[in-house]
Amino acid sequence: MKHSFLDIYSDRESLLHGIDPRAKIFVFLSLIVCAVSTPPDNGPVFLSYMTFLATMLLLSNLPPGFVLKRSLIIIPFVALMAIFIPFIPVAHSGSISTGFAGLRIYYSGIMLVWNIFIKAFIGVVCITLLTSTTPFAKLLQGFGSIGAPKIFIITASFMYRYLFIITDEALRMKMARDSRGFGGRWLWHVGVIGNMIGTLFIRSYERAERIYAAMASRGFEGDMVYHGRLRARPFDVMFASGTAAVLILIRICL
Amino acid sequence: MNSENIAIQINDLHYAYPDGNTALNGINLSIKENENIALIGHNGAGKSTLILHLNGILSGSGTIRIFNMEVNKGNLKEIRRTVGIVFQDPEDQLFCPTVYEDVAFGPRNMGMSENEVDKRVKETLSNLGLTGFEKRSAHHLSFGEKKRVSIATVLSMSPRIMVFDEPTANLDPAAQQALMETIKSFNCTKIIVTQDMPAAAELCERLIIMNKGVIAADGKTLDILSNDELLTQNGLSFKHYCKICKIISGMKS
Repeated sequence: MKHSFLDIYSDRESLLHGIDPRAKIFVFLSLIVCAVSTPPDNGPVFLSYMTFLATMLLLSNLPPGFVLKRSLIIIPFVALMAIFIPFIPVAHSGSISTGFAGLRIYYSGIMLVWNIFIKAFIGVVCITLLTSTTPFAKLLQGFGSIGAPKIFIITASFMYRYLFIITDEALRMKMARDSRGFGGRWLWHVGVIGNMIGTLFIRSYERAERIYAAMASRGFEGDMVYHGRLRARPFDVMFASGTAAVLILIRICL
Repeated sequence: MNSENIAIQINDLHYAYPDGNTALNGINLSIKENENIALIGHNGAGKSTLILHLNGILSGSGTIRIFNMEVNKGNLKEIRRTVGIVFQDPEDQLFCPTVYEDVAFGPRNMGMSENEVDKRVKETLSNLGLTGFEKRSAHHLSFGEKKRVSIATVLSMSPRIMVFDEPTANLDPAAQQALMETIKSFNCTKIIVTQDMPAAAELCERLIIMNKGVIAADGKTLDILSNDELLTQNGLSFKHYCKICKIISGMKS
């Protein structure tokens, strides 16, 4: 059916693509930690982080529009969380009147929204850059070899493999439903959609049983054997330590 | 007959699903090493249930011996190394992020060293004409390619018995032909579960019909396929297919 990619562009070639996944995980994790621990009113530091990300984007050879579009998925979440914050009264904070029902916008609230937004944004850009420059299998291998719990790695690996199959199944079901002239009242829709979700769940459950049979047939005894064969070059180590040093300098000195 | 040469020996096998449905109702069967067996029967006849018993995924009452080794909980590892099953739906068979990982899954579970695994995977992929597929994700393969990779995942364990569940189903005619040639080239005991009579005739000298959980017929493939009464009794007549063949050959001559 449809060919969907989570890690589209991850097979391209660039400096960032070529770096060992563990080094990349380390670098982007460092940036996230630095960003999260920075006070929100420290403009120059955030500007430096953005410059850092722009440099990474340049090194990654990814289309900037793609990275930006992917990063914007956080907007609804942040908006949902932050929309009311500026209106919540805070003692000792300056405010301006909205002129509507006595509502006031508080400066400290605005600062809080900015804080949430900029940190979430930096985090998502980091994740986008990491996943778009590393094939998913390599990424899992990377996380596995730096000690992420095996159960997470296995779960993520199965999810990556079967997400699209389940999506395809749902789309096929929707096609079959629509082909039979699906229409009518809203309440009727809810019932039908409920049945579809139930069917999808049962099908996935049965598929899981068949997959398990296929695994057991090939000698699976409860332990997934993954052998990471990642080899870090001296350049990878240099890249990771160099960029991390730059980030720490930005965080401390500016 | 020398018992050494018997690949599979099944005595009085019964199995009922947890919901009470009887799937196997007294199966007795003996298969020699290097025999090619076609296992046919209408939907729900018990074919898939039977093959799941061959490597101990399901266990009913009765005994199954694989190369004179009884299938029981203690020797499942050895049994599963000996009996490889290629399941019908490649989406179930291929569960790893990449083709390489999938083909390496069996050999790794067998406890091979990483060098041996690597050698095995490359050999198997090259045997099946799949060199260069190592890093691909199963999701982005065509159905025919998925089917071949599924076979590779089992072949990499070098099983002495290979079981194929509906290998030609859903493939286009050219891919069917290619796959049959591949299966033919394997040098081991083969059991092919199929609804595809021409494939059965081409690949197997012996044919077994299952019906309602028992073996309804067992004999030479061409003898059984020419016995239309027997096929009709078991809901397997393929007269319509022969009719088309006759019409086509009439048009040609």
